[in-house]
Order: sequence, then C-alpha cells, then structure tokens
Amino acid sequence: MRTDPDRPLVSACQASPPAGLQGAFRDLYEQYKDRVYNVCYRITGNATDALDASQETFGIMFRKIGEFRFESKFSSWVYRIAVNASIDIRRRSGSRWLASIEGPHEAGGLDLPRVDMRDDRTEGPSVAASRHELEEEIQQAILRLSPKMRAITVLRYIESLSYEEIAETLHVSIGTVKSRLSRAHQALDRELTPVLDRHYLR
Amino acid sequence: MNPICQDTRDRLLESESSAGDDASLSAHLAACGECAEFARRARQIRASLSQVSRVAAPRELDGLVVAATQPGSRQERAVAALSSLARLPAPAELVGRALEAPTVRPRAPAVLDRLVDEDLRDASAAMARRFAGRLDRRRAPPVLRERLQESAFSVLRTDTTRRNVLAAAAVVLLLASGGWWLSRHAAPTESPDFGFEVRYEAGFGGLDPMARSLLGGLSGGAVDVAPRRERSAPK
Repeated sequence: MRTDPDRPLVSACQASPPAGLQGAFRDLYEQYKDRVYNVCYRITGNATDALDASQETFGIMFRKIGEFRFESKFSSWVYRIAVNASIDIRRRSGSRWLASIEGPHEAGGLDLPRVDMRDDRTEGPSVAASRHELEEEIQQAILRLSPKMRAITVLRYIESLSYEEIAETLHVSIGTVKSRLSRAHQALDRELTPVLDRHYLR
Repeated sequence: MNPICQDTRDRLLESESSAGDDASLSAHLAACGECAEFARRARQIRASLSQVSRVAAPRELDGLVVAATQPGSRQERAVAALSSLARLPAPAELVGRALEAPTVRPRAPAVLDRLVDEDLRDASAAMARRFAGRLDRRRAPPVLRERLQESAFSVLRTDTTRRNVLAAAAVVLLLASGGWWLSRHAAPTESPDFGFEVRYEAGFGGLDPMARSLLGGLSGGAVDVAPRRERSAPK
C-alpha cells in the first residue's frame, strides 16, 4: 500500500464525519485551497468561475470523503474533482467565457492576491508589468487549448505533477498523458514562441 | 520528419531532465539544427509555464466553502450564504433625491384603449398592421432577371413548341400578304347610290308597312294605323 501524506487527516475525517469546515477537514482545506483554486483559475480563466469551481470541489470533497478508499493519492483525487468541476463550469458558462477572453482578471472583478515564486527578487515596475503581460499571454494561450489539453498542461507545467500523478488524476494511461502533452506542447509552441521571442528579445 | 527526429522530439517533451543527461539525445541535437531549435523552444515554453505566478485563493472562498459544508440542503445553504452578505445602506444623497423627485405619473393616452381593443378583437390583423410596414422592401436580385430571360427563351428550346410557333408565324405572314395581294389585284366593286325621297301621304294607308308598324309602336296603339280594307268586320 502506498504511503499518502494526507492519510492521517483523511482518516480522521472518515472516523468522525465533519459537521462543517472544522477539525481535520479544515486542515485539509487549508492545505489544498490554494492549489485547488490555482488549478481552477488556470482552467476556467477567470476568478468568478474559479471560485465557483473551487467551492464545488470542496463541497464534493466534503460529501464524498467518507467514500475515499486510498486507491489513488488523495491529492490526485482532489485534483480530479477540481479539474472536472472547472471543465464543467467552463462549459456551463460558455457565454461568460467568451467575454472573459478579453481579460481574465476583469471578468471576475476580484483583485487576486498573487503568490509570486520570485518574491525574494526585487523587480522594477517595468519588469513587473512586462512579466504580467507575458503571464497574460501565457494564460490566453492555455485557454485556447481544448479542456483536456488545458487540464494536462496545468497539472504538468504549473502544478508540476509527474506523468504518473497526472495519469492517476485524469484516469488515463501514461501513454495518453504523453500524447496529449505532446499535442498541447505543439499548440503552445505555435502560440507562445513568437510571444516568448518578443518578450525575451526586447 | 524522419523517425529519428520524431523520436528525439518525443523524448525532449517527455524528459524531465535536460537533454545533457542523455548522450544520444545530445549527439542528435548537435547534428540536427531543427531539433536543436525545437529543444530550445521546448525549454523556453516549459520554463515560462512553470514560472507563471500562482494565484492564491481569495478570502471569499472561505465563506463559500463554509456555506457548502453546512448541514441542510444545498438550496438552503445557498440562501444562507446569500443572506449572510452584508446589506449596503443606500447613500443619503440617493435617499434625498428620491424624496425630492416629483411624483408625476404619466397617464396613458386615450388612443391606447382603442389600440388595445383592436388588438384583442383581431390579433392577427393587429399583428399584420404592426409588422407589415416594418418589412424591408427587397429588390429583386439581378440573377432573377437572368433566370427569367433564360426561362422565356427556354420555351423555344423544345422541338414541338418551336414548330408550333413557327407555324403560327407562317399563318400570320400568309394572311397579311394575302390581304395585301387581294387589295391590289381584285376588281373594284360598284358602290350603291344612296338618296332621300320626300312624299306627302294623306292617310296611313299609303305608308310603307314597316313605317306603319313603327308609328303604331311609338304611339302605344293609340293611333290606328291599319288600312281600312284590311279591317275585318264582326261576324
């Protein structure tokens, strides 16, 4: 049996079903909320849908955690719920989605706090603006992928999941993960290479 | 693309480590410029995607998840979440304006009664009246004229129709030319001499029988126009 770092908390939730956002379930929520929200945001492309998808994810997690049997990693299970909720919500809000293409941040109307991986580095306003512009371009390129390829791209390159974890999360074979990732990469190559060249050469 | 290049690119995408760790991969990249360029772009894209800022969950999510994990039906939880939202008071300026605004309520014009009545009596006619005037007047497309011309001339394309048309044209031509020939070559006819004769008659008996009948009819039988010798005696 594989060791799952979340097993103690999940087992605690299963032993005494949570009556709300408290106890072990609260710990799990705190542990996963940023990761879940990040995946939802990158897949849906706007803050409003990301919030809905995240709420849906934790709602399902709350109701179904008693049925989880550790046949996969708990994180894979959570990611799978988040990916499916995001794709589902993105499908349901198709019209709003089109409007959000113009600017994912405006659509939600929320000022998103960002956890910058390079906070230790001081960067001037022009560098920060340039980086945000590049991020927008990357986000738009991700959004132009199909939902399946978008999910696999986010899990692989943004959440840094291994091929095995992605296969477990999406319930597909490793070969499927590789082929989808290859096609996603080809699409991103077409979209992003001119953007990246322009960004790095100026 | 040859199989070696394809295999190299697949391995480049799959490999989590750099190409420098794989001697055969490095050798191919050193020899193949296209694959080396592909490797450069793949590395660039991977680095860019992995450096995208992570967005942290907003504080709103806590409230939403609390609502989602509360006991009760999902609808009840949604209502609870909505009702927990802070109700913003209307600004004083807006309240003042609302109080100052004159309460003039516009009255419906009298003609509205008649229009509504007409609509209710005959809905289809009202609908036609309402929308008929709004229809755009469409102009016939140029292709219609061409089609009509084609269809008009296409009548002559069948053999039977063409024969009938040609026969009718021949008859008309024959009649016209025959009339013209007769008018030129036929013997002139003698025209009758018309004239008037004035004659005085003392009685109706001398009149022409047709004139007597006409006179009797005009007088309504009041004038006895029959000749005396024709009158029959009672037996």
